[in-house]
Amino acid sequence: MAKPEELKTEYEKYALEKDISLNPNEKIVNAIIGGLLNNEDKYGEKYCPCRKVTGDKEEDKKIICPCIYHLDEINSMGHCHCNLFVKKTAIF
Amino acid sequence: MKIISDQEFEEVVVKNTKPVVVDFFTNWCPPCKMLSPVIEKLAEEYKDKIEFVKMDLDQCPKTGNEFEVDRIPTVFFINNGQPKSSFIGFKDEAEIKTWLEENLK
Repeated sequence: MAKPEELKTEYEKYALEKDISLNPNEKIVNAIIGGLLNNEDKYGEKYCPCRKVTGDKEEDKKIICPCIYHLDEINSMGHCHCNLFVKKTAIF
Repeated sequence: MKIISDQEFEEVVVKNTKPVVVDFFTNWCPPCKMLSPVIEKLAEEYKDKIEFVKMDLDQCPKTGNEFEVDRIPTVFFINNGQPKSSFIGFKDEAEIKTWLEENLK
């Protein structure tokens, strides 16, 4: 299982590639990463901690972080549902 | 605020004579943690008019499925046992107050 810092670095790289940002609020980022690692421990995958895990592996692939919804959510709300990723200009 | 189970839902929510606000959360969801103190404050303020309860989605699969909760936090305003309105994700106190007042009309 990845360590929190490793996962954070991985998501920072991903955000750079997609021209989005990790939430500048460290507390939120650390809490979400904790939730992702908890789900990886519990279910074997880094499912979003703010979405329901159905137990249907095929269906639940959609909510493995980064989930399939996050880019649309960032465009429409300025952040993904769980607040891990935000629009580049968004300030919290 | 009381945390209720699937088994208590009928008694505490459906049969309640007052409107009930149900806050679905999980322990690992940061927006749920951000929303919680806001809801607790409003629960105190509106305690004469509305009952507020919380349900842990991980512990309440039956009710979660019935209400088709797929994201958390999800908050329902329930009147006479029927969901009247809901919102998903973090909202601040002013937004939620407006939402409550609209649903109390």
